[in-house]
Amino acid sequence: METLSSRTVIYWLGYFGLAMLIIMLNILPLQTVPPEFFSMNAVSLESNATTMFGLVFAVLKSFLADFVLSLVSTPNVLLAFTCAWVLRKPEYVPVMLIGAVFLLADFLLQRPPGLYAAVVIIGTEFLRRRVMELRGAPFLVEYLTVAGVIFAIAIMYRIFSSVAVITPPDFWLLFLQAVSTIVIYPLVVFVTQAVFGIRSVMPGQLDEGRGRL
Amino acid sequence: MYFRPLRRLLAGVTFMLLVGIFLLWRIDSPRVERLRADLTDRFVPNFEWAMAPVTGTVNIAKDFQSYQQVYEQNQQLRRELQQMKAWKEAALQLEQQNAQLRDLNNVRLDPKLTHVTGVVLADSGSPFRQSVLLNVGARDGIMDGWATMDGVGLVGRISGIGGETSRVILLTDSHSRIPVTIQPSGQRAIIAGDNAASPLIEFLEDPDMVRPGDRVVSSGDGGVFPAGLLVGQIAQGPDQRLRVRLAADYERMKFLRILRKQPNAPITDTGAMLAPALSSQTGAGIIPLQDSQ
Repeated sequence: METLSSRTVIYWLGYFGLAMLIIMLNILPLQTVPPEFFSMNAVSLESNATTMFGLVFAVLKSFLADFVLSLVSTPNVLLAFTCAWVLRKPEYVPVMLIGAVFLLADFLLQRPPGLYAAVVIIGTEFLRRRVMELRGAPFLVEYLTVAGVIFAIAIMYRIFSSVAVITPPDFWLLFLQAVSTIVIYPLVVFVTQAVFGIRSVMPGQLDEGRGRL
Repeated sequence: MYFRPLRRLLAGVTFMLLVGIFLLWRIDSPRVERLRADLTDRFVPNFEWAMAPVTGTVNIAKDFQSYQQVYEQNQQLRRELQQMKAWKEAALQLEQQNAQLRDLNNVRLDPKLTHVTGVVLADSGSPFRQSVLLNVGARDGIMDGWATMDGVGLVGRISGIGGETSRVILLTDSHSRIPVTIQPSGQRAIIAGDNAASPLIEFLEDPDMVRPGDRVVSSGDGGVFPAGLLVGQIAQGPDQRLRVRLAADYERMKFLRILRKQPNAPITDTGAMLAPALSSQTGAGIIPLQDSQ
């Protein structure tokens, strides 16, 4: 490892702490009722849906409420942060750290251990190789790339769990999770830059402790 | 500079390691699940100091939201209270009658069915699984498979125990299957969670004999749960499939009680004689023989 500065180590710890915070917020016992997205359930719809208009209104309202709720509760914030950090300062989130953090998340969030982590490693390594190309590119380009990677991660996860003959996660739920993760990505980027002060090193800029790129 | 062979190697090694752990889990699931329980046991109780205030704040916000509906609810409750008073009278009479009959019959309720109460520490953390973590574990003598209830109805079963924590798979989880009886008709069925708020009813012999509103209780088939625990009521979805509206309040899960269950005495051999044990020191069949000589 070249120039293993104390700053880098602090950011490693920061990433780990952030990950633990996100996992902790996830497992807070707030949502013990399963979210209902596309599975129309009788029990939530039966109330005062006597007229056609009332029915349509009830469906729309519950759908909207579900959608908003899903945006709050389902996105994989950890994945969004990891992508944002990898694209800005790859040395702050080494592969092994990502692997360890997602393995721990797998264990704590009741996923098959290692599978999601391995898929995330594939995704983030793909991003890591494009750091130089995306540096200085407009944000839209980065956004589309990350969106592609997040979808690819969801699809690979689904395929691999089918291949390994374990009960695959619900398709719509995975899709919704990918979409909501992509939706919150700009916010995550903003927090990464504003709060953590992690910005890409632009060509020609001085990289701290390492001199000109 | 990020394409250096060392980095590639590191990524490869990490990837293989993770896949290795996954394969190990796939092959030897119980041992890795044990590790999962231990990890949860190590990490989650440490979060508790941080979790309590956050949970409290969010719950206060939720309560504020619900103030809007309070007036409406109040009116409704008044109406219901009127009906309930009549029911209460009937219930009291029945209770007295029941007590008298019990007395006549010398019925003793099962003393083995005691319970341990636990506090909900955490939920599963993702919409893909439905489970909660309790703050009681192997230390308190909890065992896999025990039934878990809130004050009213069945909530789920214990699956996965650490030293100080244990996980409850809720009835709504897509892996949950519980044998039940549907009350007035006495039909047997399985309720199968599908990650929706009300689990499905499967393997019902005669759906015509079941109406929405029927009571669903655990049947005790397969020795999974004690019989007669309230699960909920039948409800019919717009797709005409029967579901169970659960009696337990899944929205406010705070304290859960875990029913202790002693396993039935296992029958190990096919048909030995019921006789006192024969051994050289205490064998009841041998000593009289020696005395007679």
